Order: sequence, then structure tokens, then C-alpha cells
Amino acid sequence: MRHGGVFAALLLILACVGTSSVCIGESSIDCGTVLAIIRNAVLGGEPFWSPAEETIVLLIRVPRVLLAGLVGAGLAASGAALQSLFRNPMADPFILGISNGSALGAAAVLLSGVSFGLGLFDLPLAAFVCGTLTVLLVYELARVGSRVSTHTLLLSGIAVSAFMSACTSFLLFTSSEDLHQVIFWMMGGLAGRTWAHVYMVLPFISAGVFIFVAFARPLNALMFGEESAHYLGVQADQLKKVLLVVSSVVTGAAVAVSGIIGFVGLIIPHIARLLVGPDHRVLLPLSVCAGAIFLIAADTVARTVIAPAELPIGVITALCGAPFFIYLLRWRGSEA
Amino acid sequence: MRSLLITGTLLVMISAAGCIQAGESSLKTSTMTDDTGAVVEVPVKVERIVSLAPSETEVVCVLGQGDRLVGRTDYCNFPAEVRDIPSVGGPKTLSIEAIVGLRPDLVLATTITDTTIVEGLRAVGVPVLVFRLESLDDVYANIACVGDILGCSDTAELVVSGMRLREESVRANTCHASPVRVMYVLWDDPLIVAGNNTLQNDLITAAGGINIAADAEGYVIISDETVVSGQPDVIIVSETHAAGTVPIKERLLEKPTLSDIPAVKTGRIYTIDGDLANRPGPRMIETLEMFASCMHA
Repeated sequence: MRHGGVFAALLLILACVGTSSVCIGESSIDCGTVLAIIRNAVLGGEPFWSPAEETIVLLIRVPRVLLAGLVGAGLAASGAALQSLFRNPMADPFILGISNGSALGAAAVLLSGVSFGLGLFDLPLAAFVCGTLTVLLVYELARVGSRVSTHTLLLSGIAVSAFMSACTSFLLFTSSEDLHQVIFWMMGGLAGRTWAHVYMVLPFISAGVFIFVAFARPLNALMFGEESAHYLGVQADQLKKVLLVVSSVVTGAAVAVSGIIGFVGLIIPHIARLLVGPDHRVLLPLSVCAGAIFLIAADTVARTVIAPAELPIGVITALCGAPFFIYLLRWRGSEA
Repeated sequence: MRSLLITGTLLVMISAAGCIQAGESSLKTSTMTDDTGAVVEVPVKVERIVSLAPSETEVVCVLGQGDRLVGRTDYCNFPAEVRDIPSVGGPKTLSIEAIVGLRPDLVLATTITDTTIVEGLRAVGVPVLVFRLESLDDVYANIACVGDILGCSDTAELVVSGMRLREESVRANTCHASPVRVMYVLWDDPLIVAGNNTLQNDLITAAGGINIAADAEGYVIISDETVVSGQPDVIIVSETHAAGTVPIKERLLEKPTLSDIPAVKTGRIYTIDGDLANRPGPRMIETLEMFASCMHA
């Protein structure tokens, strides 16, 4: 593959960023100890550290880093696929209203006190279900017979999003309950996430990412327009349906555990495209890596920069990502 | 200095050449600077008070001036008789019209009150005093100040000295005990705790404890890592009465990350009514005594 070098470099960076993120934290545990704790967990051995240090590394930092990687990868891959599907650079994983739908579900569950008896998982489940239902609604609204035009899809996405967002605002405003959980959930973040959350999204996101990569060739064909794709043997309508379902599930899973983290799904695919061009066979795996790296790094900053307090991760993704993207757009883009 | 300063001498303001018939109040005012630095003209005779904070409602009532309260918020629920006073809304739904309609001589608020409401009231000429209440001393100063304005500084002095006495006794009883590491939790997901410059931090310190979140300012989100490395001996949770939800204490006990900290292992997680624990009013001293008994149980 022509871009093997870039790919290898990104994997290496991902490994480095992941490892150093586990080593960095509010409590100072030196890198040697951290690595020993992890090695010990896998291979067994005699601990020379305190149980508290082991809890911090194995139960707090490692799952959080993994989750950041998964969410970043999922959002970036969805973004890349949807940008191509809609042939629209403004497309991101939330374009069909999944974020506002999930937020409404989360707010409804939190404010009504309804419980499905799943404890920790009530909120993610409600967010996931409402998010995917919203996309389904958008799709049905845009469907005429068996055909769905991408323009109608985008527009009904915008309309349904606005409607859902108004419902959420109404709920928030009329509620007398504590609102901080809803508000922080909408700001997005990975504070307090555990292994349970990792297990919850791992199957959805990894399967989704795999499917995206498998559809790289048809996506390439689709870039020439639906008609040309048809002549190239691609069933555009089928492809559209599959990609919409997969991206809804992947994004819904990501949103369920991390709230609404903006920017990753929009900017990372563009950065990847600027680096390696539009071939989806390279672009998709690259977006996955870059998304994971970016979100792991952003979350590390979020939990350390004003420690012991936590910063909302969305602040960092936009604050660091936007200037970097502008730099690429202005200087690297003009060279290429 | 946080307390209100009575900066001016009495400014006698006679309305222009007596063209307005003198109402029973509001002719004479004294100039005060409130805790936010705003200069407020407070009438010398205050007959009609609207309170925009449960703590201020309690202060007015503890001074025996409850009959001067003409408005309160949905959240003012103590003492029980204030429920008969008309409400001007909840924290997010305060209505300027409703407040102005009650023709208050003075509105009492805290730094938690929506500032657009405070500014809106001032813009239409309603005097609003905003108190910043982050410590027991702030609460004492608040009571003394409201006492001065309502002409019952003797009662205020009595109330405050009674509170100080109880504070001293808590301090005397706990100062020789070995320091207890404490975390005060307002919410579990995200984990929101009381850091430095909060009322609860002051109470923890007064009761001979160390707040594990004292490095952070105000009410903050912290990570589980801070809790694990802070190793709190005692966790105090404030619970508001949200119906149908799992209590915060139980959700904390479910967290696998926290299972090894001393407070969880020894079961020393205590729940206090949020109306009491988060309200910087005269009953703060009861909260302090509760904190002390939780921490030195």
C-alpha cells in the first residue's frame, strides 16, 4: 500500500499516546510502576505498589484510555463514511439528529426518574435507543417509495434535530429536578467511566469500524455520484441503508457512553483526507487511528490540566483541533 | 471583607420638592455595598421583603420578622409557615413581574441567584442585596446585616452568638481528634464534590477534618482517581428528594473503582438532607454538628 508509512507511523503514535496517557494522571505514579502494574495484571507477579495505585491504573486509567480510543475511532470513522455518503464536507456523525435524539432520551430518563432496572446502564440505553430511533424517523421522513435522496435526508435531519432539541430544552426548563447530570452529559466527557462502559460499546464500535472498512471500495465508487456508482456495480440505495444503520449504531454507542463530543467526527476525517487523499481503503483506517489518538490525547488534557478538577472534553477537542485543522487547510492543503 | 459594608451615612433623599405624596417608606435610604460590590440604596424602613434564596428566607424568619416577607421562591420550605407566602418561581423560573408586583422595599438574594434577575430588578429601581455565603463567618455576617436593616440587631446578635457558641463547642470537641479525611459529594455521575471556598469545606475544616478536594476551587467535577488517591475516611452525601431515583449513596457503593477506599470499606458514607446541608442559613450550625458526628462517629 502506498500509504503504509503513514499508517505505520500513526499506529506507533497511537501506541505511544495510549501508553503515556495511562502513565499521566493527577496522582503521581511513576511510569515504571504503571507499566509493572499492567504487566502484572496480564502475566502475574509480586506487587510492590499499593492497592490504591493498582486501582488507579487498572480500574480508572486503562478503561478510560481504551474508551477514549474507541469513541474517537468510532466517531471519526462514522464521520468519514457519512461525508462521502452525502458528498458534503459539513457532514458529521450527528448530522441526522442522533445527538439531539440521544440527548432527549437521556434528559427524559434522568428527569422523569424512570428506571429500566439497569442501574448504571439506564442512561446509555435510553440515549442509544432514542438516538437510533431519531435516525430511523429522519430516514422514513426522507423516503419516497424506495428512494431516499441525500438532500432530503440532510434537510429532514436538520428539522428533526431542531424539534428534538426544543423538546429537550422544554424538559430542562420545566423540570424542578437537578439538572447538572443532563447538562454535563450533553457537554460530553469520560469522567468516571469504567470497564463496564468499555465492554458495552466494544462490540458495536469494533464491528462498525470493520464494516466501514469493508465498504471502502463501494464508497470510492459512490464519490463519482450515485449514477456512476450504479454503472460500477454498486447498489447505491442498499449501500446508503447499510452505512446509515452502521453509522447510527456506532455513533449511538459512542454517544451513550461519552455524551456529545463534537468536532472529532467532523475534523478528523478531513485531516486524514488532507494527509492521504480520498481513497477510502486508506482514509477509513487512517481516520480510525487518528480519531483514537486525538480523543485519547484530548481526554488526558481534560483530566490533568486543572486537576483535581476535570475540564469538559469538548472544550479541548475544539480548542486544539480547530487551529490544527486550519493550519492543515491553509498550508498543507495548498501544497497538495 | 465579605460582609456588607454600610458605607454611607444616612443619605436623606427628599423626593423632588414633595411633588409626590410621601409613602410610608422609601423616602430615606442608606447606601450599602453588597458582597458583589454593587452599591445599593436600601430604605431605612423595610416593610416588604422578597427573598430569592431559601437561606435568606430562614434568616428573616429566625430574626422573628417573617411577617415582613411578602414573597419567596418555590424552594423556600423552612420554617413551615413560609409556605403560605406567595412564591415568585423556582431558580430558573423567577419572574421579575411577579417580584415587582409584590412591591418589595428590598429583595434579598445570594450569588447563586440568576444575575439577569438581579440586574433586571435593579434596572426597574428595586433594591437587591446579594450575599456571598461560603463560610460560617459569611453566614454570621449575613444574619447581622439583615438584622441591622430590619432594625433588630439585638436579636441578630443573640442568634449569631448562640451559633458561635455551638461552633466553638464543636471545635473544642474535635480539635484533639486525629484529622479525618472527608469528601463531600453533591452528585455521583459526574462526581461533583465541594472543593475550596465552599460552605462544606469550611464545615469539614471546623469539625476537624481534611477535605480531600481542597485543591480544587468551588463545586467541581473530579475524577475517581482523585478519590482513590485522596483515600477519604468519611464520605458525606447530600441528597435532595428526587423521586424514584436510586440514592447517591447506593450508586457510590456500586462503583467498582471506589470499593477499596476506607470510607467504602468501613461503610462510613453518610447521607444528609440537601436542604439542610447546602443551605447557608441559620441552621448551618446544625449541619456542622451533623458533620462532626459523622466524622467522629
